[in-house]
Amino acid sequence: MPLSDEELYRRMKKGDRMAFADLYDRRSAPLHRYVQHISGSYSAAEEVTHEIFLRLIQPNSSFDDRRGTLEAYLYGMARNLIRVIRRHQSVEPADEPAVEHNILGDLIRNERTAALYAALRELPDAYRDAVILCDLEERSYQEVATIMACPVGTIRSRLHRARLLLAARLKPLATFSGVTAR
Amino acid sequence: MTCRESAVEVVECIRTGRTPGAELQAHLMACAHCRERREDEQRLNTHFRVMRDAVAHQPSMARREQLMREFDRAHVGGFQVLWRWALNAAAILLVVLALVHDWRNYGHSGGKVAQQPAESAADVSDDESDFVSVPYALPLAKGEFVRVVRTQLDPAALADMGLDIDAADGAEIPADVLVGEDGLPRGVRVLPEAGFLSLE
Repeated sequence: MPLSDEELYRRMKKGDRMAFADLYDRRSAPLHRYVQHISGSYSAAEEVTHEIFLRLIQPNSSFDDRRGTLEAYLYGMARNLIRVIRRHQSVEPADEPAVEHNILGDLIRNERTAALYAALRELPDAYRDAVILCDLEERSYQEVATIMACPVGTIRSRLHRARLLLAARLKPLATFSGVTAR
Repeated sequence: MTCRESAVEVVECIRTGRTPGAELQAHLMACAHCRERREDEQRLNTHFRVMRDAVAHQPSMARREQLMREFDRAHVGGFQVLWRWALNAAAILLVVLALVHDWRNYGHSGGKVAQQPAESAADVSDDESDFVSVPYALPLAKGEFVRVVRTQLDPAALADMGLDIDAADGAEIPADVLVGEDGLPRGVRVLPEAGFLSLE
């Protein structure tokens, strides 16, 4: 049976290198994708994910398992770091290297997807997180409720409202597009 | 089934890929608005699939390696930390001991004085003849207290005082210096155990 995140964290704090590697391998990819979806930037995702784990290994990292799960803590850190990056970018726009992971860049250039990304970023944080975690990350309502520290019903209603808003945003573009709905 | 219930059910069916139940299908057949909503939701799902496939699924390996190095740096074992402290403390202790040793042997005047046995003029007078007078130095007054300072002197300095010492390698010569109460040298005696006996 795999060890819980919290147990891996405890072992990691005692200097267990393998525990840290396991924790990183388990949680870095979803966090990386989460940041990519919010920021639309691969390099921002690299920075934020790196920073999250860097802070986690510091002796003064403030995670307390009595206050929530480690996963919720990691996503909370990701949200805060993204806010910091956004504040920074409002002063000095980040320049994405042209050669770096162009798939996402190409996709954003696609009008409809760009509109969807824009709509996603304009959603209130709670709605946006529900969409990213439930629909893009395909997590269960229960898992997302744990991460967001709220009831399952709240997650479900946030997701439905968010989807309604996004669908409305996409509708005008769909009139001229050949997107095939399945 | 109401439109509100239908909307919830439509989203769940599309998200999970579940086939709509008979009740929902009947409602969709009857309600154009809900059918449109279902199409919107399906379109949204298609976009989500594209977005899911587009993102990079892993952070770069270079970042992972960098973090592992950071971890190693941040989590140096407690035993290693203890050893580092112990070694540092031992090094400091050695330096202090060496300094104390130097201070004891050579005094804190910074000179090369080896011993400073205080003697009275009377004690010295017995073997006063061993000392060669320092040129132009005042003679010792009667009853004056003197000190004999053991030190090492340069052969050239000894030669100036009339002591011709054959030190082939130019090494400094162990000698006693007779110091008066005024602190000025009055006489010099080359130590016999140094092996330089060719005094003139």
